[in-house]
Amino acid sequence: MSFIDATDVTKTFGKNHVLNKVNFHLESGSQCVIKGASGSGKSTFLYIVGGLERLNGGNIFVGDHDLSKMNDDQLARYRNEAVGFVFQFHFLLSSLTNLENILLPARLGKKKVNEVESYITGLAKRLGVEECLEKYPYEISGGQQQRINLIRALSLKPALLLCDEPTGNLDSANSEVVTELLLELSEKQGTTLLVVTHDEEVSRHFDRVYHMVDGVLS
Amino acid sequence: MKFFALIKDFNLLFFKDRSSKFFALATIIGLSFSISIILCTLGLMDGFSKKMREALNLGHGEIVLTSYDGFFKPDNNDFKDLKDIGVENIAYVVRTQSFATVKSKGKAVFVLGIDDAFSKISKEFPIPKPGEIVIGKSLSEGLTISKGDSLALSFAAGRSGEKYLPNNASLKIKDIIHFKIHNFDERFVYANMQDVQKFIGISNLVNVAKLKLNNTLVTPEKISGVVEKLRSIFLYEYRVMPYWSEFATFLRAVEFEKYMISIILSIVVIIAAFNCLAFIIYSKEKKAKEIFLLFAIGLSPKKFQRLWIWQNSFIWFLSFALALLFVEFFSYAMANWDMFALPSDVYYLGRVEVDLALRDILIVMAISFVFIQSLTWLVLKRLDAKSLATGLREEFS
Repeated sequence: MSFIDATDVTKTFGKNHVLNKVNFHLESGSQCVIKGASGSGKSTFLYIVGGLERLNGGNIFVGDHDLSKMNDDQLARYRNEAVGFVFQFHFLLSSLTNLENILLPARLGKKKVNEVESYITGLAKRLGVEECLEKYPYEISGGQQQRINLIRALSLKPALLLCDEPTGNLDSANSEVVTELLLELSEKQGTTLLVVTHDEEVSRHFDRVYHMVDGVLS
Repeated sequence: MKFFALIKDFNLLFFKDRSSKFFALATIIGLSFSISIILCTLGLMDGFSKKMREALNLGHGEIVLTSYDGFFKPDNNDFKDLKDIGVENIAYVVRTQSFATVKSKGKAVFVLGIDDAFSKISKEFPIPKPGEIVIGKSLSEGLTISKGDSLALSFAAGRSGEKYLPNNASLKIKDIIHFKIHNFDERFVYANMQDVQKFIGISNLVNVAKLKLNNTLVTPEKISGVVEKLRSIFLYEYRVMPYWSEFATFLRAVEFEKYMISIILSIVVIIAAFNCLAFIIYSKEKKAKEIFLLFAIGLSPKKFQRLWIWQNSFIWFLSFALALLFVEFFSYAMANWDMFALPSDVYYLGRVEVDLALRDILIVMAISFVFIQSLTWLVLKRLDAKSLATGLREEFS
C-alpha cells in the first residue's frame, strides 16, 4: 500500500500545462528524489503533495488524506500535522529568534509547545546548532539556517518530509552535510522523504530517482 | 488558552516593528476621535435638554394649571384629594405683564405675584413681602440696579385708571437671583401676591396654580402621566400643562436634531473605520512574508480571520475607551472653560454639560463594532487569490 498515491495528476497555470497526468507512488518510510531541469514541474508536484498547491485533475492520496477533496482549513491542518517542508530559501522570519521560528508549527497546531521543546533541543544538539537557538536568523550562517529550517520541518514529527532544492543555497560542504542529515533523520524516524533537486551531488545519495521532464514523470 | 497564546504570537509578528506600532496607534486615535465626536454630540444634546428641564423646574413645580375662566378663587375645593395621584403641594400665583422702569431705562417684564405658600414648591426662594420685589440677574444688569434699589412697575388699568393712565408702583428690590434660563433671568420678576392683586384690581383672585409632585414622580414620563390624569379630572375647568410646556417645541426640536445629527456623524465613524481597513491592508502587504509562511506551516484561513477579528476587537475596545476619556475631558471643558460658554440669549442656557445615556453609548458601541468587523471580514475574504507556493516564492525571493 503506497503512502503517496498520485494518479493522473494535472496542473495548469493559465494556458501552461505544468503537470501532465503524473503518476507517482511511494511507500511509507521510503526516500526518493525527483530530478529535473528548471521549469520541468518537479517543484509544482512537490507543492501539490504538500498541500501548497491544488491539482486541476487526477487524484492524490497521502496516507489517509485525499488532497483533491480537502478544503483550505483541512489542508492547513494536513500541512501542520502530516508534512514537514524544507525549502531552498529557508523562509525563517527575521523578527523571531531561531527557536521561535522552529516552534511556529507547534504554536499553530494542536501539540503543546513544551512537549515539542525538549525534542527540538535534542535535534538541535544532534545537528550542531544548539547555540544558535536564541540567535536571530541573520546572525547565523547559511548552513546553520538550513539546519534550523530542517529542525522546524521535523519539529512535529511529520509522516512526510518534502524538500525543495534543500541545498540550493549552500556550498558543497554544507550540501553534503544537509543531504546526509535528511537521509539519516528520515531513516531514524521512519519519515517518508521526497526531495526535489537538479543537483547531481544530492541525487546520487538516493536509491530511487525519478525524472520530471516537461510535466511528465518517469 | 492556545488561541490566546497565538494572539500573542500574532501581535509579536505583526506589530514588532515601529511603523506597524505607529500605524496601529494612529488607527486607534483616529477611531477614538470619531467615536468621541458622535458621543459628545449625543451627550451635548441630551445634556442641553436635561439642563433646560432642570432650570425650568427650579421654583416652578412640576405642573401648571390655568383656568379656562381666567381668574379663580385660590381656596376652592377643586384641588383637594389630589394626594392620591402624587400631588404633594399647591401654590397659587398671579401672573401678569408689566413694564419695569428705573431712571431712563425700561423693560417689559412678566410679574408673578406669590405668597408664603410658594415656599412649599420652591424651598429656598426668597418670598417678597408687600413693597418688595425679586428680580433676575440679567434684568438687574440691564437696568443697572442692585439689591435695595427701587424699581417702578407700570400696570395696565383699563378704564379703571385715572384718565386711562396705567397704575404705577414702586417696589424695593429684596433679592437678585440667577434663574438658569436666560429668558426668566431677563424678564421674570416676583412680587408679593397681595401687591399684584391690588395693582391689577382682582381682589383675592389668582390665575395660575402650580403643583409640586412627590419625589417619585420627577421624570418627564411620570410627570406626563400625572398631567393626563389631571386633564381627565379637570377636563372643562383647567388647562393642565407640564412645567416645560412653554419650551416643549424647542425641546422636541433638540431631540429631533440629536437623531439627525447622529446619523450624519455616523459618517465620521464610518470614515474612521476605514482607517482600520487601511491598517489591515497595510499589515497584509508589509507582513506578506509572515502570512504566507504561517499558511504554509499550518495556519488555516479561518484561524487567520479569527486572529484579525480579535485584533480589530482589541483596537476597537482601546479606541472606545479612549473616546470615553475624550468625552470626559470635553465635558469638563464645556462646564468650566469660558470659550465654551453659550450665548444665553440665543440658547436660553449659559452652560451645558455632556449627559450621555447608557443606551446611546451602547448603540454607538454596537454600530462601530459591527461596521469594523464587517469591513474586516470582507477584506479578509478577498485576500490574494495567489497560491501559497507562488506567494512563498515571490515574498522570500
